Amino acid sequence: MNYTDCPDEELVAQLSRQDTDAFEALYGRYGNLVYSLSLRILGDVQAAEDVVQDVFLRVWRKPDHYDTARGRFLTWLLSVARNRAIDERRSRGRRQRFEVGSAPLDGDGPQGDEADDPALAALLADERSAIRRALVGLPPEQRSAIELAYYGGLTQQEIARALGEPLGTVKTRIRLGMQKMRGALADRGPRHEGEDELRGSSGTAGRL
Amino acid sequence: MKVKMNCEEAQELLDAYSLGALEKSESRRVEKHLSGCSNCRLLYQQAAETTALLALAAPLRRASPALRLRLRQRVLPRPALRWLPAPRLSWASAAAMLAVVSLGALTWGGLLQTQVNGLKTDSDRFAVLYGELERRGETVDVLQKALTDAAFRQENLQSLIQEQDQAMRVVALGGGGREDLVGTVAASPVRGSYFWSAEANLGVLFLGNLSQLSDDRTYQLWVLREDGTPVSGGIFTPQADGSARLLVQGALGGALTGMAITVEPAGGSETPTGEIVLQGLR
Repeated sequence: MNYTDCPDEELVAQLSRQDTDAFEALYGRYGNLVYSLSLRILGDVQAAEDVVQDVFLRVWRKPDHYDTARGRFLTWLLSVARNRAIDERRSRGRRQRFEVGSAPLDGDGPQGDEADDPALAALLADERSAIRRALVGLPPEQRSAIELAYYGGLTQQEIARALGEPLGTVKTRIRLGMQKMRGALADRGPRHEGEDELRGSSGTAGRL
Repeated sequence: MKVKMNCEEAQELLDAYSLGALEKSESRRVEKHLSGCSNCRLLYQQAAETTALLALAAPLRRASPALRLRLRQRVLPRPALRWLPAPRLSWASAAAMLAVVSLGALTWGGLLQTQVNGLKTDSDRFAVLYGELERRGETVDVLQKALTDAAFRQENLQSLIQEQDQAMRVVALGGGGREDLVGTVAASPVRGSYFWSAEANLGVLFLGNLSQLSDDRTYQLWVLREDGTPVSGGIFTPQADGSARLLVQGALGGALTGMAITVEPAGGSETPTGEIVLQGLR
């Protein structure tokens, strides 16, 4: 079996047969992505590694929790990772204060380790640069509200309290920001062949 | 009870809902609306896709290679645990005996092999004889049983030789080492030594002076992973003389960082629950 060109969904199906090579292939594809997201949310290497381990072991043990009918594997994987990391962040938040609104996104260029690692930089490059451009293009207060919700796990009320702004203002920022992002992402126009590096696009979820 | 949410109300909240930024009660009301409104579900799907993309905006970092190794270890098959043939020697002399055995391995293995071959010749002869009798239309139950028994003994002996042979390789190849396990109860007579060979990808655990357990309890072997998590290596019952020999196969045989023997309820446990009778750390 050729694991390199195998779509995600097929690799996941292999997991129920205890196929460790399929597991390694999935980790090879998305391990760094899940790690980067967890690190962004938790800001701590050890905690982020624990989340990566939890998430991938969960995929290994319960591959049937991913339902192909509900969209792409990567979308599901990242949302599992995000939720797991946010849970961890909340449980740590009781013990230690997290800095709110850390946003190391300085532009839409390479961030983190990808500057000196071409293989890393090539990973979903188009999708990543599109979302970065969309985020950077937002008015700072809209972007920060969205980031506090997504990476910080804060509710609108908590964001309002943290920023000392009225709840209505925060709600509006989130709604407008998300609308603008959707617009910016849609303006990327129809993709041409070869641009889509995401393997295993099931077609049901459309663009990630 | 709040009034049912309408589409306009729901759509205003979809972005925040997909970001997980609603209070629990609000979240539940949106969910309720979505479950009955396919139009809003579609809009939610769009919001959720944008949200999912946010994951990709995080600065990309390389995860440590050690993490990959840890995960690999967690998904590897558990070490296969097999009985070594019932030993007639006491544990105290087992290590010395093994050294002797490894020196004379070829001769000894050869001797057993000769016996196996003898058995095989016997059973072949039986088979010919049986075929003859059958052709004559005679059923000879006794002969059939003898034939089956011989074949069974031959198989047993064959696997016994293989296991002995593997144990010898562990010691003969070396490249690993020996660890003594120590009793955790003061003055406990229980003893254990673990020999492993990186080359053979195999370890042998010799145990001695184990007391016999009641039927509702069993001994269980645990191997400790790099991160300290105990993984079951299987359950076992010692021989009548209190000795046991366990063969630990697979990558974990050499890579484990420690092991422990506990007493568990019959059938074994998922994680150690009982008294640790013996442990060793690398």
